[in-house]
Amino acid sequence: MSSLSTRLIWPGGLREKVRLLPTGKSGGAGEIFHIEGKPGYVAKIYHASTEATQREQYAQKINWMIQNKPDLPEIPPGHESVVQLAWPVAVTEGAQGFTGFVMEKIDFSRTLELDYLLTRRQAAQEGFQADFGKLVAISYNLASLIRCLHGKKIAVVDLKPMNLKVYKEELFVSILDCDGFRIYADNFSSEAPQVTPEYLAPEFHDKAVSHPEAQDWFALATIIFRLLNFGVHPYVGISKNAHGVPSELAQRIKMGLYPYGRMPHRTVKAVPASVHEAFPDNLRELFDRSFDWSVSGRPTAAEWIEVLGGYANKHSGLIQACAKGHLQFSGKPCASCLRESILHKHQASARRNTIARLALSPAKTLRNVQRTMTRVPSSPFQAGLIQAQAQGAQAQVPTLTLFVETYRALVVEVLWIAGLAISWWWLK
Amino acid sequence: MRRTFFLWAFLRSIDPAARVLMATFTLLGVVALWWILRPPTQAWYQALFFWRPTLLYWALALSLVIPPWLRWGYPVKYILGPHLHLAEKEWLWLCRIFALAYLFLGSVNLAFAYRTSSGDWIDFKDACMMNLLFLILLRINFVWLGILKNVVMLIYGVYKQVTLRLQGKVP
Repeated sequence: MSSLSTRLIWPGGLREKVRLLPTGKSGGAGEIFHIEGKPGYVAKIYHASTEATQREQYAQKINWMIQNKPDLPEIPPGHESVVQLAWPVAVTEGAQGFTGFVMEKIDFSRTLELDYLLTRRQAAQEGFQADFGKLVAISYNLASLIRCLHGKKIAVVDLKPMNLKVYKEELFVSILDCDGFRIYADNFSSEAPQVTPEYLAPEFHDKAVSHPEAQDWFALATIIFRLLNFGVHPYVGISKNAHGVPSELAQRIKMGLYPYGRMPHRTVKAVPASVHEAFPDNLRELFDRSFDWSVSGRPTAAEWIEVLGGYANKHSGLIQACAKGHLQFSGKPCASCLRESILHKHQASARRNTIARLALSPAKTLRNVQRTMTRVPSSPFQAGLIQAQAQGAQAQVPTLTLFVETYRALVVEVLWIAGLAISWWWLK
Repeated sequence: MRRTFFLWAFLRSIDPAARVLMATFTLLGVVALWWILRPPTQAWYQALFFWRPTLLYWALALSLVIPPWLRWGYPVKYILGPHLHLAEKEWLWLCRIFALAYLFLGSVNLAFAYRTSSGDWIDFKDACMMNLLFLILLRINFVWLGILKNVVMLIYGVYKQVTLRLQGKVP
């Protein structure tokens, strides 16, 4: 879409004619535009194909939101440019009336998607060195933001890492797509049909979200758990029995397959990469109350703030440096060291398995080596695997392979000849 | 006890289809040994004498039909040898074809035994022996020559190592 002229209507009735310049960002509901002469704002213009009734609902919701901005967590002096909510501040109007709204601009160069923080390496690539101090602070800020929204009878509902931005320096969190929030105030209500199954509370699967605050508490707990546990989702686990568990996260959430509780789960166990054992007891209690069906009372955003506040405070002494310089929860093993040791053990075991496989199936190894020579592998992972096998194969193949292969073939042939002799007797 | 465990572990490591074939041949071998060591009475001898090829063929036909039906694998793989690289579906069809052929040969044996002269029956049995010869030729060409080459290479490798050690080039 090229540039277009529109009229802004600010609270109090001030009208202003401006030109909108495309940003190239477009979503399911509308498109985002720069506003000429207003670098601190952007406009979201709903698609022209939006039905009149839907447009009318948008207009009512945006007007209510402009009049009822929640009181957000306080920003320290010097960081006023931090935008915690892409909240509507003005309405845009075209020839046919309401077309969209104006919101404060979130500086994407100073922020990164919270999704990136779930993988430390990805966060580092984005210029953010994650540690437990920062992650706890981010979790605290997110919980604070959710509490402020709930205080105004507004719920995010579709709360997920992709909709959240984190300021790299200030560690404040911004929530995008505010026009999709659920409003359940006394004087106005608005639905929010959009949900993401991986962050949807078990009681709302296959049902409408009847208690939006409870949904936000569940999603908040899931995000905090993933932030602190190197991206491991609270419902990812390994089946303890032969029957297995559903592969989809949504099904696991519905069935309450949470293996990270203080009481072990009957059918699933934690993935080896998890460091939940290094979390302090009060945090584990909150996680258990959030995800374990047998433990009642899902913690509210205020409870999260109370517990996380202690850890987010640098002077509380609840987080300290380990011998290697990682930040850890006091009185608990260092989660970063634990993670490093898990990964180290995993790599060593994978190496041992590769060598064992080479010894057990030299013929397969030879085939892999031959394939490397004759064709390009389909993926970098396969290429790496084959290279690793080839290195081992060079050392093993000449002696071991030949002996084992010949020995096995001889055993088979002796049996075959015995069978032939028996057949000969029956035929003679 | 330990030997029993190793035998059990060895049998567990074998493909179920091969196990079925081994069981069939073990049974046939035990019967053959029994026959040789404790010859049956004249009446039994005469009755079973003509049935022997038929019993072998039908037993083989059964052991080719049952494992694929139970999804245990394809015994024909072990009759023909590891030199053929076929798809699972092709092995299945080969199993069926071999089973039908054995069923047919078993029936033809009875027809020759009871409907034709002794000379014709012996000719038929000799023709059946040719099948075995054909299998042996396949085996020699595609399997045994390869094994022989490996054995020679192993002996040569050992010889080379011993020579190098005697010359003091390898500690």
